Amino acid sequence: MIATRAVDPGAAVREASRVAVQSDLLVNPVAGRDDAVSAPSVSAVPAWRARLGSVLWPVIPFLLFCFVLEIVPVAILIRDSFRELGNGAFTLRNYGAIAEPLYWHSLRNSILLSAGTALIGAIWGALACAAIVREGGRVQRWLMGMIATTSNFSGIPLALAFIALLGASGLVTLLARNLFGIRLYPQHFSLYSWTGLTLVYTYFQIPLMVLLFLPAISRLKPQWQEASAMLGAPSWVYWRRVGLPVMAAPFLAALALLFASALGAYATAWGLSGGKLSLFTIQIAFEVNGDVSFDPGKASAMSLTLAAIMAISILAAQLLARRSQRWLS
Amino acid sequence: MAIVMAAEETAVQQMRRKPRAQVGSILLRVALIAAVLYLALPLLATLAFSLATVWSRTVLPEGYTLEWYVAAVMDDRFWPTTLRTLQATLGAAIISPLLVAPALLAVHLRAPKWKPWLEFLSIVPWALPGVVLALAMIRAYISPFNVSRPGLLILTYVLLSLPFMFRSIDASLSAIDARTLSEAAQMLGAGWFDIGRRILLPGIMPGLMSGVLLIAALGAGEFALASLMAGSGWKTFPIYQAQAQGVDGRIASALAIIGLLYVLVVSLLLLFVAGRNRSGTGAAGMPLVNK
Repeated sequence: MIATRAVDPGAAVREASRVAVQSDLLVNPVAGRDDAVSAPSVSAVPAWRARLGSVLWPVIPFLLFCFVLEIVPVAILIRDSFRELGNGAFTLRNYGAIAEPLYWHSLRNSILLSAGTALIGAIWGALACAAIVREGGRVQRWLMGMIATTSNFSGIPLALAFIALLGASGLVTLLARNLFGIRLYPQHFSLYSWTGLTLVYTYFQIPLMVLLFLPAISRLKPQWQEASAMLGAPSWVYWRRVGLPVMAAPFLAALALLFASALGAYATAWGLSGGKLSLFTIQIAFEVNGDVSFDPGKASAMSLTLAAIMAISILAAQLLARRSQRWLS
Repeated sequence: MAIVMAAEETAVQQMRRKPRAQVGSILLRVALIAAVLYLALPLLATLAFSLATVWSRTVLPEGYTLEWYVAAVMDDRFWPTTLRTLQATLGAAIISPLLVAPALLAVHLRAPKWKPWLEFLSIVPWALPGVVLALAMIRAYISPFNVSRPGLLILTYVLLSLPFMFRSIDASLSAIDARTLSEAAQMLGAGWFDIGRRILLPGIMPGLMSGVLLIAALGAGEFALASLMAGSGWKTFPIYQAQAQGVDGRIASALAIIGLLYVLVVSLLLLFVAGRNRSGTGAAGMPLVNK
């Protein structure tokens, strides 16, 4: 079904193609490895064209889609970010606008919140993950089910859930008042604050960390620990000299991904504070929504800055993950 | 010699019984229990609120009712927004596999060297948060051409699904070793139609299913793109949820529970699909970009 047409030139020779492939292998091992199925080397159509055709047709829709919905929109963002409002002349001023206090503070807030919750989530999640690995059988499966489910909770419903727990008339607030006579709001605590946002972000970081860290931690070989114990090392020495160094790269890789996922978050913060807390994504959304003073250049420059920071952290995560393959394959 | 070995053996056994120092063991247990509580409490509180009649002066609610669920569902906005969310989910769930599966099959069978390029294209949306994508789509298509906003929203959901759809189908194809199997089938005289129907399609099914289920989880919670791109003209379920919060906290709690139950069902199906395939689905830990 797939690529029928391209195989057909070789159809007549297919029965004999095993031989052809083998001879092809002898002459050109690379071609043999890459194209063992169609073996178009004997057909009338030149080999590279047959291969190009057979590969191309099913891939075209995918490439076309990526071009139209990925490359063109991003290219337009890049173009806009270097254009002056009004006359369209080349400018770098749009990127300079990020240094304005309003945007600069929102960027700083975003980075601090993301880094902070990524760190809390990574440490807490890694410990929870280590504990889950030690559990066996049914308990482990139950816990992993819970983690997998909660990792899909986010955005508006998550904000609503936290408002029900810790909001001005939330469960904890009610219990504190009715049981202990403590009035949390507004002076002691507020969910609609940076503390509150940290709590909510931590919620989606923990399960994500467990999912990201589980493959690495479950490949930590028990033999290493046995070996170090037989050599007389106490458990903490094993962790200091073997366990933690081996886990460092996957931990940092997961940390970078948690950071990226928090940095791009918008709905959770919006659902909680309705834009009162100034995050970078919220400022971009204001720019997009603000019909009055929409400046596409500024909004594009901010968007690309955000995307660049996220791309760098994802790339760092990939490199770190590759590095850890050495020990954990 | 025997004594030494016996001693070693007991050392190993002890270690297996108590793998870490007592303190570490307790620390891990505490971290786990705290995490479970942390993950469960907001959900339980929401459930309690959505079922309570009056709850302001007492420790426990004065009574329990389904009134808020009825109010949430009877609201004029409930069905239109729910249907739109389902429509967007279904649209993306149909288009995304149709784009990804043929491309990946062709590359797997014919040109493995090309895979990194497609992989790169499929992973780019991961670095584009919702607000950025919304701006890009508005500038590229909505402002200049006035295209159908819901249609473009569905296509943007397809774009968002590329990272995990690609990965999960790729993992399935690698797991069955599609190339060797189809070669073997070909040698046994099978045509491409048979190979597609009997080998490739069943082979990619687990990956495809988990990709589709992840789209369902994504669509149920996606807010940034829906509110910025389609906005007031085509309100989806999460937009209704956000609006309800401003009106009545208990109706909002009921709506949150409805949304969370949906995600729970989807997640359980995902686990089921992943559990039936030991190879896993390859999409674990792909963070959904709808936070």
